[in-house]
Amino acid sequence: MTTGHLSYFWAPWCTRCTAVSPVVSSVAQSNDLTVEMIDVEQSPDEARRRRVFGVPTIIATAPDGSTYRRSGSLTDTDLQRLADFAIGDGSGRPPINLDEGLRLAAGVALAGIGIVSSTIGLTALGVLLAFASVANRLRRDRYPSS
Amino acid sequence: MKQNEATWERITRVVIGVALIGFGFASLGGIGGAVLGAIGLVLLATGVVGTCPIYAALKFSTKPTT
Repeated sequence: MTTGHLSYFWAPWCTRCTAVSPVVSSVAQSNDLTVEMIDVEQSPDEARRRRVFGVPTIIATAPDGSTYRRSGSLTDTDLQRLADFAIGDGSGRPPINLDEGLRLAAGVALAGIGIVSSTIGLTALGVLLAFASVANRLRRDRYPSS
Repeated sequence: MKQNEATWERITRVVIGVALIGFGFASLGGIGGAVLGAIGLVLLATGVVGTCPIYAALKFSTKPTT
């Protein structure tokens, strides 16, 4: 089984990419992962092959070949989740993390309190919070690397 | 915003926040309940986000640096 790795697609004209690049390298290094930095200007064919339409985009590949990707703004939490997926057992889904877990638990608790006390505002807030945790989960990559 | 709360603190804030919201809005009612509920909402929000504006202003953090 091969090891997991990260692929970071960037462009020289993208200021956000330039700011995130060192963080990507740092996360890869601290998690003992290799990272390939792909300049979409220099390698447009590779970007096209991997269905990368915007920068920055990072694709995490797990040891079993399954991938997850994230495009646009990348927080430290997103990068660590992608790194965790890349070094994980390749079960196909990134593990639920603290942010998602807290949002989901708080949302369910609030919705439950709202329903029991017939407070529509609390119920709505709880449902929104729980939905936000589910909606924020990383998207499974529909475009495999090979 | 950079997160500045440790895991234990985030969980504590969320639990206490939900409890205050439940007790304040759903149980107590009135102005006192609204105040408790508002405090609970603030605790819940800062716990979920992981960032406390007061900590940020004081340049303080309970989050481990490693």
